[in-house]
Amino acid sequence: MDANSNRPVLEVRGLTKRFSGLTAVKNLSFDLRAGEIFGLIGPNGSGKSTAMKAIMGIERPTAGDVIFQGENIAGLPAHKIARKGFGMVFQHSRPLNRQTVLENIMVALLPDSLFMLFADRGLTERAQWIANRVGLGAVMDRRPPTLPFADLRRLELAKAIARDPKVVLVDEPFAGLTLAEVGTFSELIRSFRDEGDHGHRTPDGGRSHIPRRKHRRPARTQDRAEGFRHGISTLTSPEPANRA
Amino acid sequence: MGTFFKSRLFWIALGVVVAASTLPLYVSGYILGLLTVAYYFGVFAMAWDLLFGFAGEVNFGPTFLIGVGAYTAGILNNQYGWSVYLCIILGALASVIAGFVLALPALRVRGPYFGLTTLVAVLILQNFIVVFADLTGGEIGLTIPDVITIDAGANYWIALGFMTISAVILYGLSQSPVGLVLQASGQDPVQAGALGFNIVKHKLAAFVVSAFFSGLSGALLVFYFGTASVGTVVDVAVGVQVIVAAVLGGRRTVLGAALGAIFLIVAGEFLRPTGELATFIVSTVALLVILFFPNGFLGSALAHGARQ
Repeated sequence: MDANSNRPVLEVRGLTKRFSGLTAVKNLSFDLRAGEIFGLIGPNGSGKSTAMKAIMGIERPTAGDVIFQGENIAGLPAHKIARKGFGMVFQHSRPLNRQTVLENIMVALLPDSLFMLFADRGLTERAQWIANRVGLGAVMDRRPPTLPFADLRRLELAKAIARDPKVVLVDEPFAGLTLAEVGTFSELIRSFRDEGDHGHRTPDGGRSHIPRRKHRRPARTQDRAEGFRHGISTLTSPEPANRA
Repeated sequence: MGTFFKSRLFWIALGVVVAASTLPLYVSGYILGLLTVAYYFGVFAMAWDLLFGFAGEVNFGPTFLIGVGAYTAGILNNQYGWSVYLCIILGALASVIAGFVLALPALRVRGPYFGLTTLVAVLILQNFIVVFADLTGGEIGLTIPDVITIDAGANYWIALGFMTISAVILYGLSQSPVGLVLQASGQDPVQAGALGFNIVKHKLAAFVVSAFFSGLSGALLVFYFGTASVGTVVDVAVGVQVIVAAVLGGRRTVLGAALGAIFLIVAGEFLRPTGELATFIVSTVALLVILFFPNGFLGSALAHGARQ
């Protein structure tokens, strides 16, 4: 453990997102510490996905601060937030169907440059390593349309963790999975956290101790949970979140 | 890239280009002229496919980019008598600038609005040409004093060489890491953003590349025709032909777009004895292919090859 563990890696303060009259997220505050798995739970429509999108910069927050390692990143565009060390696993995925699983993972590893005309060897090796790590080793040369649903979810996870993010946001990680798959997936998410804590994944760089995810449902996976209890009455509901 | 040179597609493409380059030795000037125009159209279609197939943006105004390149080159030659090559390069650059100016605001709007913006751009250009007839030749067309060469064989080789080089660059780009990022941006912009890619930057770059090749090809075409007119390089119908060619050949294949363009031009010409029916027949075939083989000629062939 190092100094980072004293201070929360991510501090969300008073995060609010309004869509012309409809308040989807109201005054959400929580802290996220290194190595912690933190869940947002609540009924459909209570604003969990919107909260994550606002943190990730996909939706611009109406108000509030998102402080990542001491820097307020609220309002930055998604690609900048991603490059700071965030990854997001989406509920619905649309992978590149003409490319192989390996190439899909490689996309996530590419720099945001217009002049990257040739992929280097290290990139391929890194993508293979990630594919093996999430359990896609046997299918990395196949194309996404031929994969079962659970493997597509693994692919999404692989892309989100590819660049060793410090915070991983997982939206509905278990939607559509069988009970057995939920167990495997849960274990996978935990193992990333644990590896991250011990710095296994980047022995060279020495950073990135803390892949951590927030997700909801099966409460077993998460260390703490944040309740969202407003549903349809979002508009008028009182402060949704009591800090856990 | 390494695997591409070993692939069947590469050898087939190479064989086709070599065979095509021998045509001037034994076919008539009439057919050469037809193919010369078809090859320039092939570049229009390939440049368009980079935007639609990869960036996922439907550009309804390919002729805006083509027209700006063609008319800039033509006007400079007509008014100032500058050298053909200088005019062609300046035409391509004008197209890049026009494309950039158009795409910068257009890419900020989502979905169908991008397409509508590009369509309006064509109409504005068309109006501009008609209104400023002193400069542009208006509806009659612009006479271009110089030509690259009058030799049919040389013109044919220039067009073939230009199409081949454009194909290599555009195809190479589409298969490179930037092409992959572009494709990811087109497929799922939200996710590509969350993966750390600046979508607008990548799409803008694709638009600029597309504009460069469209404008260059448009400029070369008017120096081949010796005239520039709204009906040949700006009209919405020409743009539709470019789009149909690209979709017919196969979305996301780049090379297929060139095949589609050659097919459209050649088929249209061979059906000319049927009079007005020619356009009808070609359009019907195109419609049927799009409805029943949405992957187009090359897309279907590649999918068939992959299954075996």
